[in-house]
Amino acid sequence: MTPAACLVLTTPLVPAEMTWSAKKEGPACVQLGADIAGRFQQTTPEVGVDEAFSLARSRFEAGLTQDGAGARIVWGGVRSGGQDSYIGVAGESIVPQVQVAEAHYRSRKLGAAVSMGLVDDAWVVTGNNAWDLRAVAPGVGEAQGWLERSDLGATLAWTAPGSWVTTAFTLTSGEGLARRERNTGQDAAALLIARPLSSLADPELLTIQAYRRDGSRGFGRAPDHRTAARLTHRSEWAAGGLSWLKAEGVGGDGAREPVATSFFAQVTPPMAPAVVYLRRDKVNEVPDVDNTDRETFFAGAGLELPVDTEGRPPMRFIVGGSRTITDAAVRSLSGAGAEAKTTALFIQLDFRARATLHDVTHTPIP
Amino acid sequence: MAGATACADVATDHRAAFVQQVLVDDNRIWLYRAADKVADKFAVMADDPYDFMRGSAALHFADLSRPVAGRSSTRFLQTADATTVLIFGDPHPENATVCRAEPSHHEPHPPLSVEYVDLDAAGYGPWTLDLWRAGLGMAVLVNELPGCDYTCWEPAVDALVHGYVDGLDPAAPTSVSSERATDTDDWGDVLVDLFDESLDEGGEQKKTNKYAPLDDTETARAFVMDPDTRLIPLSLDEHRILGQLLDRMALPPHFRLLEASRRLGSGVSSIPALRYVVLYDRGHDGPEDDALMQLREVLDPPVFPGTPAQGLAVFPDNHTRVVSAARQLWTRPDADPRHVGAEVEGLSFKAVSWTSYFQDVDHTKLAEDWEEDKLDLDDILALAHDLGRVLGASHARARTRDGIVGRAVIEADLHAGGGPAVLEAEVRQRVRHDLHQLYTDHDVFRDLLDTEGPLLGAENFYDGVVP
Repeated sequence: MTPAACLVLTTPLVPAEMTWSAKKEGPACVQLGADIAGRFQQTTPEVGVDEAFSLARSRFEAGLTQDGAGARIVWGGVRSGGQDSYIGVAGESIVPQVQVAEAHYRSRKLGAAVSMGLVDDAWVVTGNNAWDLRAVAPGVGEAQGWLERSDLGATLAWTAPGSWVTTAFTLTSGEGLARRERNTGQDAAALLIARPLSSLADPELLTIQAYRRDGSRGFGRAPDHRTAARLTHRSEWAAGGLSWLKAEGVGGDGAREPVATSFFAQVTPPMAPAVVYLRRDKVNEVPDVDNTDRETFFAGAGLELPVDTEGRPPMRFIVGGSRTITDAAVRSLSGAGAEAKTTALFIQLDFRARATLHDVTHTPIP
Repeated sequence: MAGATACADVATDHRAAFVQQVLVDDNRIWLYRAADKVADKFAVMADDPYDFMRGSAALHFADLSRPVAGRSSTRFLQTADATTVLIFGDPHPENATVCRAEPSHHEPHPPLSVEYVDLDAAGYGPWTLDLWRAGLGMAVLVNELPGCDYTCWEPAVDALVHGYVDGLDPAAPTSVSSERATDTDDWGDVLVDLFDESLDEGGEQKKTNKYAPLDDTETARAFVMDPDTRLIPLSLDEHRILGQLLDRMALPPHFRLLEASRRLGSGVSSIPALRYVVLYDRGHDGPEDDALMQLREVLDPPVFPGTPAQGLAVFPDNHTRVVSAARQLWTRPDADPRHVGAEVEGLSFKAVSWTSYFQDVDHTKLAEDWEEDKLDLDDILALAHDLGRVLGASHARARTRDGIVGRAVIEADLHAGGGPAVLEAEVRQRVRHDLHQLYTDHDVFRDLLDTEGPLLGAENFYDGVVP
């Protein structure tokens, strides 16, 4: 049995998928995955419901593939109506949202993959792979609402022999996973990942990534461009990254051009089933003007469970927190002191794992 | 393909795209089922800057929360409690209404009060937001008066703030006895005239006689369904929803439904909403107890900027939100005795009295009176002061989301921020900016209607078919 060979749920933007060493495309298989995290959090300033349980992550995924042809679908739980609406489904129930639904073809022999449907945002999915603690906090682009997890469209990706470079090109509607198309423009995005040490070691030991999106949003076709760069490291027991992201237009407001930088480091020491992380995001809402920043610091530690599991345990119990400091000029009401500093402390139990079924038989649907 | 990519199809007028996006999103629910009514609403907003202000609260708030440099910073809202005061959300002058509770044995002549009756935008938010919004409403109303400019509206906004601070005083007058309604020094002439009209026209059942006059036998009424009354018969679906609503609502004792209709074209923000007018009586066969009430759909409030836990929905539903807000914000919970709520098929509705005892401030009537020299600037300043006082008294009597009395929170924040003089200067400066932006956006909006269509380009929702 070779479970690693079934990678229908894995993005083709990581080298594990596109080895070029495969003599044959992947066998018929089915994969299921779950990534669920429950959280209890206390927030200060204490306003209203400052102590609350929440579903920090709820994601179920399924995929099947045969000889490189496959399909994948991902559901995530979302609060119907959002946090600030009274108009939802069956009250304000948490309902499943399709976050990814794609048909794809991957040729490992050529290092190429094409997918169409509701496809991953290349910058978000590679960021999540690097940060690896998506259940603690989304990447800075997603957290600020500048990027979405997926969009309707198509992706073409190619990884060079030896995995020293991967390129991806996407063409999408530009409205994200929750909105239908509102204008005639399509978003075009390109991602380049270089792995300069891939011939010497694990390709993910060091990556250099660059991303550009030309986009438009809304009925008004507001600019929605992104430019980004990232440096990442991942080894057996440590990971880290540094990223820079510039937005030109946010959420239909074409005049906004904020910039974000993010740094993170995490350690999973080989002698203990634990994880420790630090992260700092800095968002500069008006780069030409001083004192227009919002900084968030994240820190936490977790125990991986069960402690005697071989390999990476599927569950983590995390104690963590965050603190956000916002300059007066860029608070949601300029100058409002109540928004100056926000602190959140939480405990979280999360589980994430994938199961693979081999020796399955695919039958075309008549 | 190149022509379809975003690079070749990005708007260069960022403000126009922003206005378009916010206003279309704000009406998104109605676009799916009543796009023609949304077009009617946009047309009303295009015709009059005041009506544009009424229909664009979401744009005002979205603009306030844009993280841009160079904007003046507030000296207030330094504590979290100050950002979670129960506020109206949209206390513009036309939202102010003279109200009368129901007479009873122990109170045969209930006093009249002035309340901001439309609580569709109510929720927990920064107390200054209501003052800014009320100031903007007052400024555009005054600025539209012939011969008026900042020399009129700035003193009016100052008077509004003075009134607000006065209203925080527990001894501030908030109502007037029916006997003294036309002979009081506590209220300015504009509101005193409305008190007078309330008592005169309410006693005559003027509104009921207009919309559902007596027949030739003088014993029964029937709706006048024509373009003047804007009443139309119910569809089968609307009839079914109304039946369920009346089953679920707390109705007056001995309620008997006599007739029902739908009313179109009322208000501004809620023009596309489902709105019923109901003719009912309380068990007498004669016309003496006939009355009207309205039942109208209530949607979500706009998202308020300026709170750390932004917009978190804490009420069970929208009708509970507006009814709960009324109980706290109004001078007395039964200021509108018909104000109750219910839900049918996921839609929240509120009921309100529809009688001539209830008299609204009307910006077009004020403009007419101004042109005919029935009003002068002193009257306008008195009105602004009165409406500010109503606002301050309402905030003061309500409780914050954490249950603290509003008066204590606001007075502490007012003191910490520098006091009434600083507040007055800040509101005036804020309103000056927002008024300029409102007129700019109104021009942008009108241009968008010309270039993008009556739905601001949302026609694309319908696969290119304009509804």
